[in-house]
Amino acid sequence: MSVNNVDDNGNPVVDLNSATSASILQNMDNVNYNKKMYVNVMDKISLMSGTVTGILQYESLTGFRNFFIIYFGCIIIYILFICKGKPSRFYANVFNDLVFEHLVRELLGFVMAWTFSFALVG
Amino acid sequence: MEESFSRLLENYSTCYSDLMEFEALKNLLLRKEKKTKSKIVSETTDSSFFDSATFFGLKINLAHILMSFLIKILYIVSILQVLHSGFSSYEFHQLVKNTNYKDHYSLPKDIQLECCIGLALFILTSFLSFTKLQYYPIKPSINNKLRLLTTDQYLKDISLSRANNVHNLIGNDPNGEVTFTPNFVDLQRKRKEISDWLADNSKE
Amino acid sequence: MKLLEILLSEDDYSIPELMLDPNFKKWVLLPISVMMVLTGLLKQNLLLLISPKYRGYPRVKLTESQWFMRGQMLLGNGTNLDDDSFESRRHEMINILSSGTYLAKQNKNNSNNGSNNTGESGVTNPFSDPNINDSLMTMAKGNMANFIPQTVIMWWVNYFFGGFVIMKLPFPLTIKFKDMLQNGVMTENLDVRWVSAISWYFISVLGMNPLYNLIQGSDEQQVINDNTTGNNTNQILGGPGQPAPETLMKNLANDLTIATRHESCFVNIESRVLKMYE
Repeated sequence: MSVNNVDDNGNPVVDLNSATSASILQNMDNVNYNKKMYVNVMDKISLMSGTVTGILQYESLTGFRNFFIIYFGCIIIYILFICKGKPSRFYANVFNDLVFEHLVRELLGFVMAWTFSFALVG
Repeated sequence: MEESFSRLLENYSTCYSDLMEFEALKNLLLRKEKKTKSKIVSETTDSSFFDSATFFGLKINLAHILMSFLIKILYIVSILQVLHSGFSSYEFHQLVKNTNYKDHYSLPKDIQLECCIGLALFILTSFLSFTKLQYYPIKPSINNKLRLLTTDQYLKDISLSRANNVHNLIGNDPNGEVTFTPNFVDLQRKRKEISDWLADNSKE
Repeated sequence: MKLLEILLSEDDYSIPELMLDPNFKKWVLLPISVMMVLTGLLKQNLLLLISPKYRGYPRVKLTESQWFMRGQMLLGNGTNLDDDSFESRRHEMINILSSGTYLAKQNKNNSNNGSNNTGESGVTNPFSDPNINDSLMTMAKGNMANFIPQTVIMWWVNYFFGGFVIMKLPFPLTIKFKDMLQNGVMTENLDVRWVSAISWYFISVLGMNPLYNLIQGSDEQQVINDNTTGNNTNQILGGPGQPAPETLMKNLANDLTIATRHESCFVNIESRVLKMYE
C-alpha cells in the first residue's frame, strides 16, 4: 500500500471503517451463522453428557476426564463430518472458534448438569 | 485472486468512473468463478419423486422431511433412554444405601450400558440433525424453471466471494435495500419498458 | 494448584456418607432450579422490552459523517483507482474537507462570536444531549434488570433454604470454599463437598447459559448485543469523548494532502489477469 494511515504527528488515524476493513473478505452473517450452529450442538452435548456423568455417579477427576473426552471427540467429529475436513473454510480462526471460545461456557454447563443429576440420583 | 475480485466488488462505488474497465475485469473474473460454482452447487432433478415433490404448489424435498422426522424420533428415544437409566440408577442407589454393603456393589452393567448408548445416540442424532443447505432461487435460472438448489455443505462459506456466489445463484441481492430504493431506480427506463411491452401486446 | 492436588489424590480421599432426607431433592433442589430457569427467561424478555428503540439522527449529521467516511475510504481503497481519477478525487476531497462545507454545526458557529467558538465547542456536557441521556437511561435499566432478579433470588434461597445441607458435590473443593458454600451450617468438620442450597444457586447461575440458549434459541448476552449494537452500523462523528468533527475533517484533509504516492491496481492489469488463465 502506498498510502500511510498516519497523520502528521505520526499517530495512526482513527479508522471509522476498521470493523469492515478487517473482515473485508468475510461475510459476517455467515460467520455468525456458523458460530451459532456450533454453539447450539455443543450446548446440547455438554448438558447431556453432564447428565449422563451424574447418572453414572462419576466423581471428581473421572467426571472431568469424561467431559474433555466428549468435548474433544465432538470437535473432531464436527471438523471431519460437518466441516468436511476443511474448518478454515467456515471458521476464520479455527482453534479459537472451535476449542477455546466456548470451553468455559460448556464446562460450566456440564458441571451444572453433572451436579444436578448427581444430587438427584445419589 | 479472490481477494482482488472481492475488493473490486466492495469498492464498486469508488470506481464508478472506471466502470468500463471494471466491467471488463469483472466479466473476465466471473468466467473463472463459474468453474468453481458448478462444483459447489448441484441441482436436484424434477424426475425423481423422492428428491422433490410438489406439495401445496411448492416443491419440497421429501427426503428432507423424512430425515427431520427420523431425527425427532431418535432424539426422543435417546432422551427416554437416559431418563430410564437415570431412574434405574436412582432406584439402585436408594436400595444400596440402606444395606451395609455399599462398597461391594457398583452400578449394574446394563444400566451403565443403557446410559452410555443413550448419550452416544444423542450425540449421533445432534450431528445428524445438520442438514445440507438448500436454496429455493428467487429468479428462474436455466431453462426458465425454478429448481431447488442443494449444496453439498452444512455450513455457510465465510469468504466473501463464495458467499456472493450463492447470492448470485439464488438471485438474491444482499444490497437490495440500496439497489431498490425508489430514488435510485431508473424510473424512466422502467416506464419505457412497460409502455413498450404494452405497445407490443396491444398490437396482437 | 491445591485444588489440582486434591483432585489427583482422590483415591485416599473418602468422606463419610450423610443420610439426607430425600424430600430435600423434591422440595429444595427442584424448586430452586425451576425458579432459576423461569427468572432467566423472564429477565431476557424484560430486557427485550426495555431495549432501546431505533434512534434517528438529523440529516446534516449523517451527511457530515458520511463525507468523512468517504475520505477514509478514498485513502484506504485508493489503489483500486487509476492515477488520474485518484488525483481528481483527492483534490475534490481536500477542498471539501478543509473548507468544512458539510459540517453539521457550521452555520451556528459562524453566526456566533468567533472568540467564544473554540472554548464552547471543545467541551460539551454529555447530559444536555437527549440522545445520550436516553442511552444512559437504557443502560441503567439494563443493569437494574440484570441485578435485581439476582439479589431477589439470592435472598429467597438464603431465607427459605438456608441453614442445612442439601446435596453432595461430585468434585472436591478446597477448605476456602467452606465459608461460602456451607453458609449457615454449624458443623466445623463437615467436608466441603456437602453444600447448602446457596451453592446450587451459584452453580446454576454460572452454568445456565447453554440451557437458555437451547430453550430460547439465543442467550441473554446475544439478546442484549442485538438490541444495543444492531442498529448502530453507521458511525456518527463527534460523540461524547471524541474529538470534534471539525478537527477530524482537518486531519483527514492533511492526510489526503500528503498521500501523493499512489499505486494503482490497474497498472499492468491485462498481463496479470492473462497470467491467471495460462
